[in-house]
Amino acid sequence: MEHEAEVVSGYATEYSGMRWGMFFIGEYANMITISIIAAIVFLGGYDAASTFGWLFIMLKIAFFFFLMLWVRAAWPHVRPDQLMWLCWKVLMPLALVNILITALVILL
Amino acid sequence: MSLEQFKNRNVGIQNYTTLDLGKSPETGMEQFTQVVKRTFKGDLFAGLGVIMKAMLKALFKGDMHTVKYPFEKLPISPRYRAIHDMLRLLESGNYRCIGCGLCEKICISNCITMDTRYDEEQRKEVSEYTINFGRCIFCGYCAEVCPELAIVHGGRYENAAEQRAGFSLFEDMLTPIDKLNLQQEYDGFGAVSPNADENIKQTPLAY
Repeated sequence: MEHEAEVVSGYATEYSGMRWGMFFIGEYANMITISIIAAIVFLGGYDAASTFGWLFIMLKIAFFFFLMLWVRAAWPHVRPDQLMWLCWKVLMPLALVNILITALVILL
Repeated sequence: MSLEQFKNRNVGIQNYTTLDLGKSPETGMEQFTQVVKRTFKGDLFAGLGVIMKAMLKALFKGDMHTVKYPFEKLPISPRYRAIHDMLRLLESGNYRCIGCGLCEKICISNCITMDTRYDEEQRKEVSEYTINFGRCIFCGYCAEVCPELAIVHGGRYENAAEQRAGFSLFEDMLTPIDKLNLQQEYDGFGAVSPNADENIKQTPLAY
């Protein structure tokens, strides 16, 4: 569990300068990669036929990247039990319902 | 903040609202309906909305709480003991130091070195004055003991430098003669910081 909003945010306090920077470069590279993959997988990706395809995929990537920063600013430290509640009792059933609806649409 | 508002010490009482938490679920069905209700209430999105509002306010309405440090600085208290300044007399532009040597004597870390001599008019002049900032503990005794308010603590607190000789010579600490009109008079010990009014907050006492 990472505690970014707290003064002692785990191992990050034990490093300074460029060593600390390497951890954060790694984290941000990870975030950018995830944003690109999410934009391709969930938001339709890159449309080569369109003139502004490059612009739109940039905006999609920027949206996902901003979403991560936004969520981190809004809920700096979600308690683990709250996170479990959200994932198991809210997102998991919604995903199941989503599968059912998709199956129905394919069937009909 | 007006005095009337400031005298009202009972902040906290009148702003409290009791949360209506409802009754906690007892049966399994009630627990289930509670989770379903919370699922579609979207309280997490309300949190996102609060942050978005705060961000828009900070970006477009100038309600920013952070300071872009190297470009903006918060005012420091006049009591702050940073790198020393040597002040000049406003009338003549001469340095105020009379070479009495009190600062050298009182310095508990022995970091002030000065040398004086008599000039051709038989007036004492400071021929050499250095402060070894590698030893200085910034106790402020030199500024306190100075009878002419010649040596004071300035506002230069960024002590990182490539060469430590850079700010220890008399000429480096002396107000530049062309910036004499910008010379700040030392407010004295116990002076409040320039933004003291903004820093006053009501103490939330509820008794």
